[in-house]
Amino acid sequence: MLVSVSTWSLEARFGAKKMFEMMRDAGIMAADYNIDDWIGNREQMDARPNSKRSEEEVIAYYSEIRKYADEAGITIGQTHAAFGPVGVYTGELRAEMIKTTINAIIATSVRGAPYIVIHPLNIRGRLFDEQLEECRKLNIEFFSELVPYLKMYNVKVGMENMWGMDAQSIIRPCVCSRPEEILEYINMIDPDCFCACPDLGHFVLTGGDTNDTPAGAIRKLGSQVKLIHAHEVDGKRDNHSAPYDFDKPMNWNDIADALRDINYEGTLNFEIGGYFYNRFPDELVPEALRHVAAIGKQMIARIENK
Amino acid sequence: MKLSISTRYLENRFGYRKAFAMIKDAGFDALDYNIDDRCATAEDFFSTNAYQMSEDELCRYYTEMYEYIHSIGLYVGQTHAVFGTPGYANHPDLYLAVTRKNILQAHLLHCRHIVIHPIKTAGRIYDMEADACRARNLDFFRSLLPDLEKYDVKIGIENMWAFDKEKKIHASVCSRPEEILSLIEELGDEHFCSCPDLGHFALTGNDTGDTVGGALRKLGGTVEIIHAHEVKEHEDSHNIPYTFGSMDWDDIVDALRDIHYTGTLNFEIGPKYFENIPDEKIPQALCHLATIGKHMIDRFENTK
Repeated sequence: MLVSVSTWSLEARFGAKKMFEMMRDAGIMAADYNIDDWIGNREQMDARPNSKRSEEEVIAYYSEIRKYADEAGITIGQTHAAFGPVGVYTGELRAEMIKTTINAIIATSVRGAPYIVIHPLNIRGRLFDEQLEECRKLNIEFFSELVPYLKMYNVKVGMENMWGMDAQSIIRPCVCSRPEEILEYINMIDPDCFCACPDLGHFVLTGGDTNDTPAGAIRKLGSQVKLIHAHEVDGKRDNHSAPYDFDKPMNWNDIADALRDINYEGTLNFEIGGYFYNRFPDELVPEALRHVAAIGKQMIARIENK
Repeated sequence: MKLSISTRYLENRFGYRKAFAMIKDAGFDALDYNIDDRCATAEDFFSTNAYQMSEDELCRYYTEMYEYIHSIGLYVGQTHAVFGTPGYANHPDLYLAVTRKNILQAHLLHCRHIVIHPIKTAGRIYDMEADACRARNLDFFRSLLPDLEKYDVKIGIENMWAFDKEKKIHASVCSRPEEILSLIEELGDEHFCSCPDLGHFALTGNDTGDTVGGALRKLGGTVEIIHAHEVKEHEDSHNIPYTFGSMDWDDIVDALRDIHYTGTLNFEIGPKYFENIPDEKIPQALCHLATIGKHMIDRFENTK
């Protein structure tokens, strides 16, 4: 099993070539490549080249990125598509968001990655199990439109557990926060094109309401887990930090045991972002990566029962 | 510049032999040995080695510890004595007796520096009770001089803080570099120097207007030892650099270079960093800190 990190804030800071070299030097031999980030409005859409690129342009651009990864010996184990509020998927930006998402599927294939995370849509205002049916209908419609592309490019979507904020800005469950809902979506849409991408930090944040621990959720999702988002949260915010960064860390040993129990074969992917990396000056980011790699390798030894 | 770390938490968790071996393996050169911890009640004082052991027993115990430290290639760069406001307020005789023994203990560890907190009188916040506080500290530190001379140990005077009624941290005794300098000057003896606590300066800086780097520059040549750690806004976290992004470490290193600092880069790291990390990952946590420290030392030694 390889240690992986998401490219999220690292590529923006160092560029793809240097980022992959830094990962390699830290002993991180896989990446979760973030193709795009948050798109919430027209301005952000216009800033994303993938909303306009042709297939040929996507292939050309991401072939170059893949070359950097290959040269550094980095495997792209999974990718992440753009994400945003439901209005972007249903309003006037819908066509461009669909194009951006399809281009992300193409880019994933070009990168040689088998899996892409595309967030399930959370119908406006859905918290807990409110508007469950409307949400399900919206997602079936959205993801079904992508199925032909997923088949054409031989890419599977990792369905992720999400969260929403209530009126007091407290994080609550919403679409796919329960493992059961993820399994239901996978089976309803197309089990050949979908699998589960449990976000361990999100399960901590919603677990107070759903009673699911990250390890318990992994066990419920079982063999559908083909990729993961591992990161630490402080219990209140979706920090995406490194393991053990807060007073009450999640039970990483239990998580490793759960991954072993379900015979997980993906990468140990840490979806760590700027909250962690931005505190370090450039010259200490390699050490920050080595620290994550060392923690990851210890977890892998436990997963692999060494 | 050598790399050092405080020992209290790790020794309590792993015992001194295992703790020091892990510290050495992670790449540290030196120890800030915490001879005693906070003592508030008489029972706390009674439980210290200083109280329980005779001088002969202390000598055997700390000589053995010193030999172990030496055998694994470490040394004790500085030590820390007993501390705690309720301790000296309610049991001044016990506090003095244990502190005097702590000076002997530092000597037995072949260490020339010990941090002994300046006394904070009950009402000392900002500059309130400043004169009474100063008189108390002059008496207290002078009473230790015979031991300091006998064992050739120097006291590092540390900048402290106090809680207000809302439990917010504010300036208190020695929070201003000028107060430390003035105490050292009036004590007028070579057995006193300063031990700037960098996190404490960050916490009280809003009240005093001192940045951490600025405070170091003011203290100048009196700085012989340090307590380096990062704090979180209003919490004396004693965490590792870059945990919160709250302190300008480059400026701190530049300030240490500017004052021609010759002591160790000593991290006074407490349970906030270590306590939630499982045993098997503590060595990595120490390696991570050591690498950050070496990066800082590299800047200290190589930036012109």
